[in-house]
Amino acid sequence: MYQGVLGAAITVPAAVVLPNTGDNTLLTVTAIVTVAVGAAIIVTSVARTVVKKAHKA
Amino acid sequence: MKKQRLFLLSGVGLMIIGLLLALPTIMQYRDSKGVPTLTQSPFTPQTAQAAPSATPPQEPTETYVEGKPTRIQIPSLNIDLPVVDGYYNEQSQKWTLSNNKVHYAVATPQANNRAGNTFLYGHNRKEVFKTLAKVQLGAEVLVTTDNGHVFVYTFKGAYETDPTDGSVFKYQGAPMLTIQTCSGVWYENRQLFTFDLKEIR
Repeated sequence: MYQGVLGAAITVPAAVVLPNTGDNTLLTVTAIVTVAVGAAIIVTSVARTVVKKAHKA
Repeated sequence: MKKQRLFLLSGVGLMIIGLLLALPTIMQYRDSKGVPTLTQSPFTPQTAQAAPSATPPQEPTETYVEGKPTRIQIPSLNIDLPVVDGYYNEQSQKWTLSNNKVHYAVATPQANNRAGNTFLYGHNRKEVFKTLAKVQLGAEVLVTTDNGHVFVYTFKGAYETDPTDGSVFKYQGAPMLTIQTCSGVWYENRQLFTFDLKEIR
């Protein structure tokens, strides 16, 4: 029986990769894109305001 | 002016939505960093054979008990899940994987009291092993087998490795259990939680 245990371990292929058990990476991508777009909008808005104020002065 | 304010508010809104969407990933990442880690992989050739921290392999005179895992319970984390067979496809290099079950890698030894590493794996999703990163040292895991035995294991530590690390399948030391789920922001790593056999009920 002991041999059976060792034998079972040997049946795994040599070049085996571990299972890909990750969650949804799409959600992470969506979150990062949303934050990036939001940040870009805020920066643009602030820059516009600054330029406008500079023109008025 | 009103249009500009609306534009700015939409930016702030998007930032908040994005951060809320990222929150589960950030929390998961933080939790995975807080897991008690092993200083050395238990599957390196030296440790796999000597297995210094593990219980020594049982004497062959003791009744040999083994069984295929069908259920896993981690009482401290309120995890109670069915375990089904998991196979590796050499051509596609993919494993059987479901969204709400744990898999037993059938090519690894069944739960037993003599030797080898029983390998279970499951998604890092809230339905499966999302909370596994909160496991504490010494926590018990109960693995019920198809022939009615309940193997009790205790948590001894976790470590992260890359997907090509096959050492986990070559272990032949004292009987142990490994549970794998993914970690990292992009789930690019594999986090291996290792458990020593405590008793069979």
